[in-house]
Amino acid sequence: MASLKYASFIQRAVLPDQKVMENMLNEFFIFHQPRDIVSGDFYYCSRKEDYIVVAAGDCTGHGVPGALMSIMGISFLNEILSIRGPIRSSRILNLLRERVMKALHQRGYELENKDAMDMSLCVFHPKSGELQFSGANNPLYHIRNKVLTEIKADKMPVGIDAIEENSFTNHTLQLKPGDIVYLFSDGFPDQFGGPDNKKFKYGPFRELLINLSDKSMEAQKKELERVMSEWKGDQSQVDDILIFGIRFI
Amino acid sequence: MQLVSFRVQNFRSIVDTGWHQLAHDNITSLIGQNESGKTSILEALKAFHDGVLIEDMLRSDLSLPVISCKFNFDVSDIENHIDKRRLNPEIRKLISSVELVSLTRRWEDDMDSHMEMGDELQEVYNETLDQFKKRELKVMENLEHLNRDIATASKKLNKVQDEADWTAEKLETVRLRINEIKRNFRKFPSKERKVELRKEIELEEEMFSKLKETLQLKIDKKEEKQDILEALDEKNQVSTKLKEIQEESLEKKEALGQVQDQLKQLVQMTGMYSTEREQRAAEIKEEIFRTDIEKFKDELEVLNDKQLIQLLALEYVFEGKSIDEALKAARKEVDAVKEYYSSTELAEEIFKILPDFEMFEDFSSLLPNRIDLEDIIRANRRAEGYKAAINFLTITGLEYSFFQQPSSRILKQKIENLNGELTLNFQDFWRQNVGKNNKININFELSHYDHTNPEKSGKPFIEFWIKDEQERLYPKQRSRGVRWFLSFFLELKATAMDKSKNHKVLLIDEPAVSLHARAQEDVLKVFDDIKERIQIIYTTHSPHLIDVNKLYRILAVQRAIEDDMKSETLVYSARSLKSATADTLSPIYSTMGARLNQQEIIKSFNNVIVKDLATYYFMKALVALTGFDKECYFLPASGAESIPMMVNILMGWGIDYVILNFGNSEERLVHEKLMKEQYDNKIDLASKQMLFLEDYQDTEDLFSTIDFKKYVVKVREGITVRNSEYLIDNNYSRAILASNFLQDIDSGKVSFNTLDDETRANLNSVIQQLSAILK
Repeated sequence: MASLKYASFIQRAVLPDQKVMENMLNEFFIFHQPRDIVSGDFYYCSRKEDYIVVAAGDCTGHGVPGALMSIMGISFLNEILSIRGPIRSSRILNLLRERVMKALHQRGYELENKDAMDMSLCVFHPKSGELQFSGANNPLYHIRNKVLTEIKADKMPVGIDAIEENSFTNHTLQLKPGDIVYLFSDGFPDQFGGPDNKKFKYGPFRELLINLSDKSMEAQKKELERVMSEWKGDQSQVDDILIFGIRFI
Repeated sequence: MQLVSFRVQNFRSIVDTGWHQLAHDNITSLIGQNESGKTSILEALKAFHDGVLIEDMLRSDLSLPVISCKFNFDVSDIENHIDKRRLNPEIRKLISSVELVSLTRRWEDDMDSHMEMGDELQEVYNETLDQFKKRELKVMENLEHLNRDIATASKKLNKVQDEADWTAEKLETVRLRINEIKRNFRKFPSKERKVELRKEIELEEEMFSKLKETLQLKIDKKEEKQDILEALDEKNQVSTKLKEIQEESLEKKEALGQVQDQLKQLVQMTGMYSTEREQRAAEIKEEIFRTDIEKFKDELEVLNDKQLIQLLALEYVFEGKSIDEALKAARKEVDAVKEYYSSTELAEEIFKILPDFEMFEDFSSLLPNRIDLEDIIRANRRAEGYKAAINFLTITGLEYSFFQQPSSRILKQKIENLNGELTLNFQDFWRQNVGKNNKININFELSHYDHTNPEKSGKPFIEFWIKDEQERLYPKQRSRGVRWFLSFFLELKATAMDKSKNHKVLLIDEPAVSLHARAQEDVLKVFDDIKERIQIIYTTHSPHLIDVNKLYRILAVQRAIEDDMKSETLVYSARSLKSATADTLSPIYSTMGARLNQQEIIKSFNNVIVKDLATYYFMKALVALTGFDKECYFLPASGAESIPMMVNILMGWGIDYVILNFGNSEERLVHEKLMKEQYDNKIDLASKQMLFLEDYQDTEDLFSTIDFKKYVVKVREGITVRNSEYLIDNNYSRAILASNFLQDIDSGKVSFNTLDDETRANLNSVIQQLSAILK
């Protein structure tokens, strides 16, 4: 148990520093509630030249295996951003997938390791307000004036795919001040609870985000925590929960 | 079923080729220097099919050949031809889940061979064998215990017997003593004495009854021990039977070994007999040995079954079954196992539906001037042109009896009709496949040797003629090209007439070896035309028999140590041709060079000098992909260091040129050198003739990793280094990959739209820069 707690300390240490994130992002919140002591969900934030790269990842499994994968994911993202080349969200996910496949010796054979991660990744260019998004199974929600737009993810993970790997799609958005984007794992919508012990589901999740979107980011986080706590009630948590909300000003 | 890959072990100069894939489009060429082992590979494949091995095919250490071939198949191919009930359920499951099946032919000491299933299925068989072995070990262990128990029981029985004997003896002594006392009693003893004697009798009788009791106990114990021993002995009967069979089997094996040795010695003598009589005697002896070997093998098989039954019976006896029950159960189990195909049986069944392997070689496959009927009847394969003559007879549907027609007039008329048909067929083939319109007639006649040939005088032979509009000549008097095509036509025709529906694999050693370059290219055309029906594997030295756009068809064969004919043969597949020596690859280099010449690529302007052939192919691919509309002519140098020399030549000829360099260290050096020496470091001057793409180490780095994996190198693994570094690290041949990539673009498999954003952006950027610098 002591070693597990220490592992969680290390995992927290590799996650981005809160203060550095505040400098880069101004208004944001991170609602990160691991199911176990360590988590397979992780978030990422880093600056590369004029760009800010943010991501929310969800590794297969939870607990220790997920945590090890998440540390791998963060290290690989750091490495990718340190090499030369165009800064494109799809390229970052493509290169990340190469590293995951190589690290896990994935070659498309039947009995090999199939671990992977789902991820939404944004590249923001503050000067122009352009936002690039690429998603591996996880979408991006964009809210402007209480209207939510879902930018769909590619249906493939960061890791070996069932048949063949393709390039991730690079979506671009022109942001306006006050726009909010949410990156998240499936932990919140998939949590069981409520009067009928059912999943929270994506529809109500989107409604909730729309309703909260005019509140401050801090207030949104508190409200999300409260809603989740009430929904869950006495039920145990199914998976790690991560929601990363950013308001652009 | 299509032959997809092969592996040859211990065959002439080959130690182990490893698995090598054949070209997916049914044409594979083996290239390499003389004596490199190309023909050995063809012969090994033929031996895989025929099972015929001759002495000179063995390695000098006499290790026995093992040849494996892998075939792709449809599960129905197999299921329709074999008895499904005889498939072990696990094998059946495996067969329906795999797409490839491999078979291995192994030779044994008597130069005989057997087929077995390849590794995929053999593992299941080995597992079954292992299980039997484990059971055998367990039985043997129990048997040891049994023997120990018998020894102990026997010892105990002896001890009890001794004790019982001793007690009985003692009892007898007491009984005698009682009688003695009783006798004394009758001798009217005194009163006191009587009292004493009575006491004595009482004591002795007490002793007697005790001893009697003890004796009864000992007898009971003895019976008990006897029962134990008998029970143990009963079990031992089965083991005794097993031992007998094992001994008999051992004797048979020894006898078999002896005959196999004798046969081996005899085979080694083949060809060394001076008279025909000796040769004939040796042949008879060989036949006797082979019959003996067959007999011993059959007997051994029966003994093996018996042995297995006794072994399993023993196992059941140990489990507590009676001998009868155990034997019954063991027989049932062995019968069930035998009901399933063994590895060899299954391999033999599958073998029946495998492609037929035919060898086409100049000596026996080229149409001869004449062949004796006797050679045909006696199936004398050593006769020159034997195969071609047989093909000829197959096509014409003739048998030996045809030539025994009593009426020579009818015979002549029939021959004339057949000659006409054959000519029409061949002309059609010649026009369709070779695209030429020569009027060539094929004629054959039946003649008899005359007195000028006293040895054969009066004997019949078939004579062949090839006629055109001007003259009638023997095949050997015609050009080798016509003769080759004619003979090849006979082979194809005969193959097509073969009643078996199996797919064919045609093995051709040095096709059209002495044909003119154009005729050799015709051969390649014919191969392409028939490849759907017949799979072709051929050896060649000729650049004209290699399609430079289809380098995936090539397997390079060379010795481990160049020029050392004693070193082993190595085979390189298309992807690793880089490891083959320049001499081995010379036909490819010649072909590439030849093609470049044919394209007359040096023009008066827009010549683009690139580092090498790989860059040449990649740049051609880039132009094809982007639809770049400016005319430009890429000139490959033979390495970055040759670029300055090419620049000098083009300058000397007054030809306009542009130099394209990438950012790797060699090209960077060349770029810097030219900048300094040609342009005096004046960038504005240099930029009109030098394009330096320093962001990319090499052409392949223009591709995103995912496109590079999908379309160029065709692998599915994580690549975390530059594409160019990956090729170096994994020893890939850039030229082959680039050539194949260009081929895929030409065939429409890859287009600009199939590439991802990153690649497209890179390609567009290079094209823009190129466009800016070209006229």
